[in-house]
Formats: sequence, C-alpha cells, structure tokens
Amino acid sequence: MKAINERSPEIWTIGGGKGGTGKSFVLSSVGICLALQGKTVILIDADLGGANLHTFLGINKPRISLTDFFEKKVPLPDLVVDSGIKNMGLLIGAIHSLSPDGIKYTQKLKLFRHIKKLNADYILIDLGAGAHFNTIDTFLLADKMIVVIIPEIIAIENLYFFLKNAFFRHVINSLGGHGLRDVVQNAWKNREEHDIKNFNQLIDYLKGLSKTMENIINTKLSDFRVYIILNRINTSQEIMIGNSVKSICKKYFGLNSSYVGYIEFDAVISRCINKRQSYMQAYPASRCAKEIERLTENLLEGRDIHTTL
Amino acid sequence: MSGKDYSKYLETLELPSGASLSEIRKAYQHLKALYSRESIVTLPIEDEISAEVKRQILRQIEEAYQGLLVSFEKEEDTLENEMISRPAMKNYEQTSVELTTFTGQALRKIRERLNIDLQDIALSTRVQTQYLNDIELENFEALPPEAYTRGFVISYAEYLSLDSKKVVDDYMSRYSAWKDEHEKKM
Repeated sequence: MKAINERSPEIWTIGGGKGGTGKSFVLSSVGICLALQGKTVILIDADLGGANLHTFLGINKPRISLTDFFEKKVPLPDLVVDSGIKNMGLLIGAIHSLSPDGIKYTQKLKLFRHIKKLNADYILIDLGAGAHFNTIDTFLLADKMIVVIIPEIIAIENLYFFLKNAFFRHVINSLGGHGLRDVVQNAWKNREEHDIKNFNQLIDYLKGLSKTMENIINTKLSDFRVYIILNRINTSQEIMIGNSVKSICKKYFGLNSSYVGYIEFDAVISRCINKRQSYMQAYPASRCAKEIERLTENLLEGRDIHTTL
Repeated sequence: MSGKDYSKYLETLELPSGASLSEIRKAYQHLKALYSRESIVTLPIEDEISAEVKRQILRQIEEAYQGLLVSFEKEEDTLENEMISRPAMKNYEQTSVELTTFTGQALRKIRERLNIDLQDIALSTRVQTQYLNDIELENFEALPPEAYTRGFVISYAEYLSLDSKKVVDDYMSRYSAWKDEHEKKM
C-alpha cells in the first residue's frame, strides 16, 4: 500500500488503562470492518512496550518500524507495510530500541504531523495499557478517543483513573498557551493546603481561581468525549454496564462519553489469536463479528448504541 | 411544564428526545438502582463521592421522572377527552397501592397501563415471555414448579414497582389452591 499525502485522515486512538481488555483485538477488528467497507485504513501499533498488532492480523512482525522514522529519518509512508487485508496498512512501533519514555513531546507532535499526512481515510492507533502521560498525550491527539473495558471492577477502576488523568492532561496541554501551565500541578501538589481530595474538588478549586480558568475548564469539559466499548460480556444483563459507566462519568465527573457497543465473550477469539488468524475474516457471520460491525457503525456516526435496558 | 424542563429531565435520565413512557420508566429504574446500590461500576469511586452528592443525584433523577410522568398524564388527559374515560397514571398507581388481590388479569391491566411489554420484562428479569404470559393467564399447569413460579412472580412484580411480597402472597394462594385440587384428582 502506497501512502502519499492527499487529504487529512480521521484519527482514532484506543486506550483505557488496564491491559488485557482486548484493545488490540478490538482495534484490529474495527480496522478490518472499515477496510471491508472500502475505506482505506492504516493501523498504527504505538504500544511501544509490546507491539503485537501483527499477531492479530496473522502476519509476521514487520522489519521496519517507527524507530526508523526517529533514528534514520525514513519517511513515514515508507514504513507502512501490507497488513494482508485489502485497503489496510500497518505501521508498528519499535519494540526494543525505543523506550516508552524516550520520545519527547515535541517528537510526538512531529510524529503526529506526519501521521496526519498519511494517505488514508482512517488511522487507528493502538496505545497499549497504562495511564502514563506519554500514552495519554497520544490518546488526546485523536479525533475520536476510544476506550475498551471489560465487566470487571479493576478494568472499570482503571478506566476512571485513566479518564481523570486524560482530562487533566487535556486541560494542562491547553494552559500552556495561557501561560498557566503549572496551575494544575501546583494545585495538586499543595492539595492538602487547599483541601482537595479528589477529582471533583480539584475541578471546583480550579474553576474558583479565576473567570478565565472557569471558562477554560468548562470549554475543555465540553470538548472532551470518549467512546466506550464494553468487551467480553458474559450475560445480556452486563450490556447495561456500559450505560452505567457512561452515567457515572457524566454525573460524578462531568465527563461526556458515548457507549457505542459491546462484544460478547467468545472462546473462539482467543483460539484465533493463538493460531494467528484474523477472527473477523475467519468468522464473519458470528455474533461477535456482527456486534463489532454494529459498534463500528456507531463509531462512524458518533452515536450511542440503542440498548433496550 | 416548559420545553426546557422537558429536555432537562430527559437529559437527567440520559434519554434521547421522544423517549416513550416505557423507556422513561426503565431508565428511571436503572439509574435509581445505579445510584443507590453498590456495583462494580460504583465501588471503585465509592470513597470519592460524598453521600450528599449521591442524594442530590437521586433527587434530580426522582424530580426528572415525576416531571416526565406529569407530561404523559397531560397527554393521557387529552386522550381521555377524545376517547374512552381512562384513569390518569397517578390514579392508577394509587389504585395499585391499594389493591390487595393480584390476579393474573389484574397484573396484566397494571402492566398495560404502564405501557410495558412482556418482552421488556423478559429481557430484564430473564423469565421467558411464555411464562410471564402464563402468569397473567393464571395458566398454572404450564408454569414450572412452585419455587420457580414464586420467583417469577416476584421478578414480575418488582419490575412493575409493585409490593412484591403482597403480590406473591396473594397470587400464590390461588396457585396453592389449584395445586391441592390438582393433587386430589391424581
């Protein structure tokens, strides 16, 4: 696949805190759905600690990676390899030579400028686990920020943590332009003094600092939106966990989200991954494949799944 | 109620505009349970949210629900003038509180007044639609053994926000009478 600059692609990132929730599976499956619809897609594996998207597609680990972009200045389009699926290319992060903390913010911005010039309709970026600010900054640069959770308390706990951190990075990154870059960190550093114990109190404190801060926070709250995917559910009652998480994010933290869909548990998925077979292609008529198609549609439209409660 | 209130109430219940009475009721029940019980969704942030905040959210949910019910009552009143005389929603709820006999027929009437489908109840309670239908028809022969039927009736009553103990005691008294009769014949 030749990737040359034509027009700006839409960028989707997948994050969500906890490892093992199925982010890479979801991302590669959504990518396949888009590609099958005739859209051009590039998957980027930015899980710098453990890039393995190629396994989900059943191909060998590409020999070229983002390292070549940083170290040898190879143009980004030349690093996109064939994914084995029509309309879809793959670009992987470095595995050894680049430590996750090694890239500076400016390098990341540069990378993003080049990513935006890639020739594709959609660019899907897999971020890997964790709530490190490096991961979060990449997450925030997307047009659509997607999170994947499973119906387990740890995954949900990590999601809240991830979203709260992401929101503060979102605020902090925009404060630089106002010369207020350290306001949030200082407030948190001196939290005992200001009697700040949690996210909401920190938000209230910041809003109370000045009219400008209040406006910034309110603007940032309104343009922050994540798209929630609930993976690996075991019963139909668990479908509602997505609605519940969405509700909590809004009512407790004031954070907007859309619940775009769920995927049921299917033991065949792990078997496919172990056999290095793409599930979407091996079982296109399965219930999970249909659910993934449905949530991809909802992502495209930016709308919620219609649950019957 | 102004259009602004209407939108605000729907937003509180996290519903799209044009939501049906049945959807409103379900959203209300879901949110009320979410903010008053512990679950894997609320436990992780249990210590961050004060009791006061929770109470306030529950108050808003309640206010939104009652406000939306009123708007549906008004619609019903208009219907009432045009068509047959039907008691307004509130009267009906009043009636169900005062009721002491819960025959299958009475239960069906309450359900229909609340604009709830058997499928909705089946989805939420995991009781098969066929059994729910048999409960309403008092088709005891088709129902599973007593302990199961009892559980089904409780789920059904809870879904309609009825006093499940009152309902199940009354309902099962007829089931037992039928069972005794049935066993005598054998």
